[in-house]
Amino acid sequence: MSAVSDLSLKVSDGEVFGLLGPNGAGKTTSLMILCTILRPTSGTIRVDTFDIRREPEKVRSRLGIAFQEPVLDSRLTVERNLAFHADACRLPKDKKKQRIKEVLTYLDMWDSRKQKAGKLSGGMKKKVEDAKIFMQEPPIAIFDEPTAYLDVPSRHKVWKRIELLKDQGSTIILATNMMDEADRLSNRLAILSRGKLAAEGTPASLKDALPRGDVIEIEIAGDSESAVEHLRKINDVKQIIHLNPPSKLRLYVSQAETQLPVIMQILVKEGVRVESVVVKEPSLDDVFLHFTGETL
Amino acid sequence: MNGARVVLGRDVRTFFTNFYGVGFRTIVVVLETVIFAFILSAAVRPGAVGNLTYLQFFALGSIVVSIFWASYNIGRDVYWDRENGFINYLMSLPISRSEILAGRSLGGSLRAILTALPLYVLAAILVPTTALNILESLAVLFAFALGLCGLGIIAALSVRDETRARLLNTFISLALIRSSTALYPIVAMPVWLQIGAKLKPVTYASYSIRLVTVYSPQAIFPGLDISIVLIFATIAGMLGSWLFSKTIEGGPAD
Repeated sequence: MSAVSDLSLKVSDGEVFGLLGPNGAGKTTSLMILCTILRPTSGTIRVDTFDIRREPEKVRSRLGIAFQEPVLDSRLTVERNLAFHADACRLPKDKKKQRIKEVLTYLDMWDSRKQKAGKLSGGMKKKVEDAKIFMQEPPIAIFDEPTAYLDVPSRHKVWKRIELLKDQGSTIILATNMMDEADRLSNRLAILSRGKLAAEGTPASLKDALPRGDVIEIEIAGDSESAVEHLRKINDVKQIIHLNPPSKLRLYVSQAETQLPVIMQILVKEGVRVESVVVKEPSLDDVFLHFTGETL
Repeated sequence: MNGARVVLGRDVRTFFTNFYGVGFRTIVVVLETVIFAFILSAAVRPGAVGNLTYLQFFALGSIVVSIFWASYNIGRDVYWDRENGFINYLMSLPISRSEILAGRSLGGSLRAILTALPLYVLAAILVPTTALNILESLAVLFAFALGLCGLGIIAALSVRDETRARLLNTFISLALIRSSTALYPIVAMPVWLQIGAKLKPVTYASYSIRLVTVYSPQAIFPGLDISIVLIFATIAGMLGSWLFSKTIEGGPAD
C-alpha cells in the first residue's frame, strides 16, 4: 500500500504553498520525502535544480522543517536545542546568538531559555520547534501543523512570523488541517486525499470551484437521516454533508434566499424539528469537504 | 566534518546532564573494586592472575567493563532517538548520514573514556603505571569503544521494544562480559568456558589493558590482543554502519 501516489506539484519561489488533507492523507509523508528522510519508491523530486535522490545534502542545505510533533532533546535546555540546530545548519556564531535571543523573545520564550525541553508544556515545545526554522531562515521553510497545541495569541504570532519569513524571500510549504490558517497564509494550496492530489489552486479559485451558491447549516432535533431523505428530493440541494454531531447538516444550494423557505416548509410538513439554521458563505472548510469527501 | 562535530557535541553535552548518574555508577564500581575484589583476592591463589593481585586484576578489568557499558549504551540513545523522531530530525539537517554515524560513534567512545577516567585514578593507586602507559591504554580502549558503539547501534536497531532491549542487554552481559576474563581469571574457569572466553573481544581488550597499563621494564607489547580488538572494532563498526544505513536511511515511503 502506498502512502502517496501520482502526486505532481510545483511550488514557486517565494510563495506560501498550503498542503491540506485529512489525517493520513499523505501530507507528512510527502514532506518527509521532500526532506530526504524517506526515500520515494518512484518518481522525481527536485528542489531548485537538485534531485533529492542524487544530491540529498544539497537539498537539505536549502531547507528546514518544523515537525508536527516537536522534536527536541528533552535533556537539553531550550537554548541548547536551538544552538544545536543553528550549529547543524552552520549559522555563524554571532548570528546564532542574536537570532536565538530575538526569536525566543518574539515567542515569549526568552525567560524559559534555561529550562530543559523535557519540562516544557506541549505549546511551549511547539513554539521551540517553530523557533528553529524562524532562527534558521532557510530558503525553503517547511511547517507541519505549525500552530498545533498553541493558544490564540501564540498562533497569531507564529502566523505573523511565517509571513515575515515569506517577505524575507523564503518559500514556505505549510501542511495544515486548519482551514483558517491555510486561508490566511497560502498563496496556493493543494488538497490531498488518500495519498492523491484531490485539488490544487489558489484559495479563491478552489472556493470558486465549489458548486455555485450558498451554504445552509441546519441542526435537526432527533433522527437526521429521515430529514436527509426529504431534503434530497429538493432539486436545488446539490450536496448534503453530515457534520459533527451528525444531527447537524450542511446543505449546498444555489441561492439560500429562495431555497431556505422551501427547505423549511418541507421539513415542517414532514414533522422534522429544526433546532437551528445558519446561512453561510462557502469557506475553505467547504472546499476541503467537497474535494476530500470527508465529514466534519 | 561539521556534522559529526555537532552530533558528537550533543552526545557529550547530554552525558554531562546525567552527571549524578555517571558519578553514582563510578562510585559503585570503585566500591565494588575495593570491597568485592579486596575480599575475594584472599581466596584467589597467587599466580592465578599472572603477576598481579586479584585486586589489581579486578580494578583494570572494571575499566574494560565500564567502557563496555558506557559505549554500548550509545545504542540506547539511538533507540530513543528513533522512538521520538530525533533521528528523522537529524536526517532532515544538512548533515550526511555518515557524519551522523561518525558523530554518534565518536560521541559514545568519548563518553566511555570520560566514564573510565575516574577509574584510572583508582588503577593508578593500585598498580604501577606511568602517564604513557595510561595514554596507551586509553588509545586501545577508545578503539574498543568505537567497536562497542557499533555493537550498541546494531542492538538498538534490531529490537523494537524496551523489554526486548533489556533482555538483549542481559544476554550480552552474560555472553560477552560475565564469561570473559574481564573480572575472572581464566585459570579459574572450566575448560569449556575458557574456550568461550577466548572467543570474546572483551577478553582481548582486558588482556591488552592489563598489559599496557601496568608498567614493567620487561613489558611485552600485546600486539595480537590489540589486533583482535581492532578487528572487532572494524567489523562491529562496519556492521553498525551498514545496519544504520539500511534501517534508518530513508526506508521506502510506504
